[in-house]
Amino acid sequence: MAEQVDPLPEDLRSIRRRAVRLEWWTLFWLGTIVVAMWAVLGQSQAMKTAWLEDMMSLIPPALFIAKSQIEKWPPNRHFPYGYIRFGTLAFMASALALLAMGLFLLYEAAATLLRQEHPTIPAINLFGREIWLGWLMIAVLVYSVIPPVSLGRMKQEPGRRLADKVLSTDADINKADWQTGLAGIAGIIGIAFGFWWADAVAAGIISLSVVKDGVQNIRAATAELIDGAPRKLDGTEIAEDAEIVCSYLAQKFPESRVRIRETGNLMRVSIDHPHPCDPKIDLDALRREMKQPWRLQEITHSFSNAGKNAPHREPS
Amino acid sequence: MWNRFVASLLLSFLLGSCDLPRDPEQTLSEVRGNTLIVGVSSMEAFDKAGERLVVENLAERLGAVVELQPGEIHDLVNAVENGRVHIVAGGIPESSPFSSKVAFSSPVEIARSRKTVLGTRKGENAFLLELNRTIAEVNGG
Repeated sequence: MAEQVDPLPEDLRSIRRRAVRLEWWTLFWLGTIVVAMWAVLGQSQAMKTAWLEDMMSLIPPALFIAKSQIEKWPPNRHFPYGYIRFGTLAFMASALALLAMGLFLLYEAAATLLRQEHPTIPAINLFGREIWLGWLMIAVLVYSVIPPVSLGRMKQEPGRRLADKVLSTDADINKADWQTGLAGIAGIIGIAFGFWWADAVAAGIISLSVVKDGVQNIRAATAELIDGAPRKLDGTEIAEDAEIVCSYLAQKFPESRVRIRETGNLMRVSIDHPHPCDPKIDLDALRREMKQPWRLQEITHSFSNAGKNAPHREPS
Repeated sequence: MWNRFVASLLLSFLLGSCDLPRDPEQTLSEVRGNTLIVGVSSMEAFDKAGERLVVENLAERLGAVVELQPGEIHDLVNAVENGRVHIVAGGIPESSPFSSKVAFSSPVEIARSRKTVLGTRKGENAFLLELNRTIAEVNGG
């Protein structure tokens, strides 16, 4: 295989290595949680929902680990721009899966409520005593919150430094896991007090948050996949560095059309000049203005009769 | 973080020591000191599998009197669903398709030849817990 091409600068590669290690740990701890939950599932709709959500949350870490390798593959004839956008595509796929599952679980919770199904939680024989499974479920739910919240906190900083959407949304979802645990526990305590509907309501709340995550991620992935302007890590606003680059270049070339998009975590700019001009740009000066200068990957100039006021149509 | 973890565990133990879980339809309190109504689909299987012993032990535990109601299995399942009968018995196997309509107890394993289960109303977790505790005692003894 040809020599690997790394989109990241030297000093950020150790951060990426650390992030990959953290994601391996995430896979391990989430794995133990999934097994523990499976052992105590029973008929609780809330437990089932929390379990499925935790299974789905195995996908982003696996994705990050895979993409960290794949984006280093060198460009070739079939993929002359390389593989840096693989991560976004996979991110979109997992966001769609998340949304689909969230909607399905929401439907299940509503159906359970409408059918007025009373969840039966039996007992299990532990150390010679019959103990109500509900207490075990609560214990497992408490445990299920601790690793994700800690790991989520640890992954936030690398996510920001690497400007990596997969890593940072994974960190956010992990950090918010305590809400899922709390809802599940509330559901089971509700059942303990005889409120059979508490379980389905808790399941509904958890699935609503899954749907919300799915929609947010789809929006972020869509923006990049259709060449939208680079967005901030945690929302749909345009990234600060993108605004800086655009205003700097617009000032330098006032009659030209400046467009910026992102590919993976890198930014690419294209400038359309209406008439021939000197395309020289003081890159160092521009980079000094940016917060994360390594993200500016390329600037392309084109000379056409277009320019800032051109109609938005592809040239024939 | 660690403090919250310990507090939640303590909470679980505390909750476990009071009268939780409770029945949404109050089956356990209805039976206690009154009558335990048992629908029996097959009297022969009821005796052979040791279910009579379980039911009598449970009644003694709850200070109740046993009332046996023979009937056809589908009618009895319906009766349990509506709370007219507290337990349905009579050689129901663990693999019975009725598991979607009634809550099955732990298997009664007195007669080595066949393991059977008793059916209770879905969601009545306190009553089911007492039943399962009785079965565990009877199985062991």
